[in-house]
Amino acid sequence: MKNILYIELMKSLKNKLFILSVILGFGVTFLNFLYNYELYTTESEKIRLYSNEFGITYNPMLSMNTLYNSWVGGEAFTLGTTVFFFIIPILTTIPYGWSYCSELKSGYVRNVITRCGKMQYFISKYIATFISGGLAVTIPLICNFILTASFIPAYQPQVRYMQYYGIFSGTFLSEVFYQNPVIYVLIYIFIDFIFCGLIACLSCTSANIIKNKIIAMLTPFGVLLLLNYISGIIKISSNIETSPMNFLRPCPVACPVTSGVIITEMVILFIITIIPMIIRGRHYEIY
Amino acid sequence: MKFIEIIKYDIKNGILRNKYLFISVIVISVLFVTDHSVNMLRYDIDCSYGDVLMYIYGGMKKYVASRGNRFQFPAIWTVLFITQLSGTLNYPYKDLNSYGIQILFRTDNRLLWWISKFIWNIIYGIIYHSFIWTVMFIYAVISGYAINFSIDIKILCNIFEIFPEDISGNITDIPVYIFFVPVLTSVVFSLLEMTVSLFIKTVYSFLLMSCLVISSAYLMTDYIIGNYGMIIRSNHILTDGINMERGIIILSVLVITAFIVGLIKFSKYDIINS
Repeated sequence: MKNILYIELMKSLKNKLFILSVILGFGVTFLNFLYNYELYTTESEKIRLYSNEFGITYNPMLSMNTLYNSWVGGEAFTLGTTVFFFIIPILTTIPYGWSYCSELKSGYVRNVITRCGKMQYFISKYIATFISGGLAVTIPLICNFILTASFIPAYQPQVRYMQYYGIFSGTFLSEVFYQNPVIYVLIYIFIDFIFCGLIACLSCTSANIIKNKIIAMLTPFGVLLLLNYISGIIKISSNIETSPMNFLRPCPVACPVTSGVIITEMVILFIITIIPMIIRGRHYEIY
Repeated sequence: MKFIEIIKYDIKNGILRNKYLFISVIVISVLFVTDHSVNMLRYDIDCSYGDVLMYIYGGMKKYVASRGNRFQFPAIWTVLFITQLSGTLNYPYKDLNSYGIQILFRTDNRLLWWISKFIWNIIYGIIYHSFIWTVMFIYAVISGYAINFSIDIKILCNIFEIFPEDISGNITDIPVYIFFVPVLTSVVFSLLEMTVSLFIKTVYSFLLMSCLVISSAYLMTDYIIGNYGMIIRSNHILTDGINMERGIIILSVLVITAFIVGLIKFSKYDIINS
């Protein structure tokens, strides 16, 4: 298991497509940085002018623009953020989502499982796809956070400016955000990692049914888009966010999400992605 | 090999035998009908066929970026456009790796192959939207809605959250051709996707088009063609709306450009290692 897992991980992380996916993701989040840096400098200048005008040495309004509402996950109004969170399902499958389908089709699987065992191969493939998908999204997120932190100060968020952060009393983990914003960011990056990993693994599930690697790669995008649409219909009656396209954003877009929704969807995604791989691992026949 | 036979082959394999087209259209039609009927429960207003089409092809009002105004992409409109883009993504590529290469060898004419795929793409778009229009027509008849293209100002203001003062003139008499512009826009998106996929991999071409679709919703400008696909942003509805007549010209120019650029690229395309 160790050897095949190592090989699969190396294949998934040391390939051009993984790097391309990370660069694409970072490129899109860079748009967010440019806009927010510009916004920060102009707004800070205005606040400074007011301070000078009235002779105030300490201005509490500076917290209106902080790192936590300027990084790509902290706001929901720039084009960079919008595009990044929209293309997440594609970014997760670019690095390795195609691999399983491609190897099934080419017959590579048959050569490998005679050497390492069926279950070992399928589980290693699952883990490698999961990790590459998760990292393809979290690396640009972390890079953007660090880049933004290098230019915009991390003022502690103030509850009185909650409309500038978009995180209100009913928002998921709002207490953590106002008390320990770094922990809030880390928790969200972790949630994004898990979800993006599972979204990438959806391409493996679809590859078990569809033999075309392009369609297998795009299936998670289609599934998430449909979920987003259905979530919109559900929202009419209940004011809870159920679309991963929206709740993966640390700054809520419309309705707040609950921990129950996150855990339920995580479990469902895990079951629908792992079970087909286990079944394959048990019943796959070389001949 | 006659040109008509190539087209027949593409229609048969790329449309009639395309399970994805029919499954996707049925799924999204069911969703649209469910969504519309659930939404209409909130308003006690008599709807028309035009209102139903507006609900699907409307898109979203102009987005003004600010911290307090968080962006939400128009789910229905995005699903409509992305589904078509994903449907037309794979067939030309798949054909080029199978039977299509035989056609290219036998006809010794790349122009015919490219024209055939171009026509196939246009027919696919027309069938896709015709199906949705038909399902919505049946839904409107069953629901007892008026069968005309008039638009109710109250529904428009409630669903798209626009103010009555932003609406231009008499919208009950908006020209019917406005409803066809989104169809033309989505066909142009598909043609551009097919042309771009000659330069970059198909998945990146799809990714690029998806970014263009979402950017169209974000930015209201004549320069991003997705804006012509949103009826709500038309100058016949909004006072500061997009000029749809100009849009038709721009879209037509883009069709010709995509055809020529694609043809030039395809004439030198390495079909063996594609």
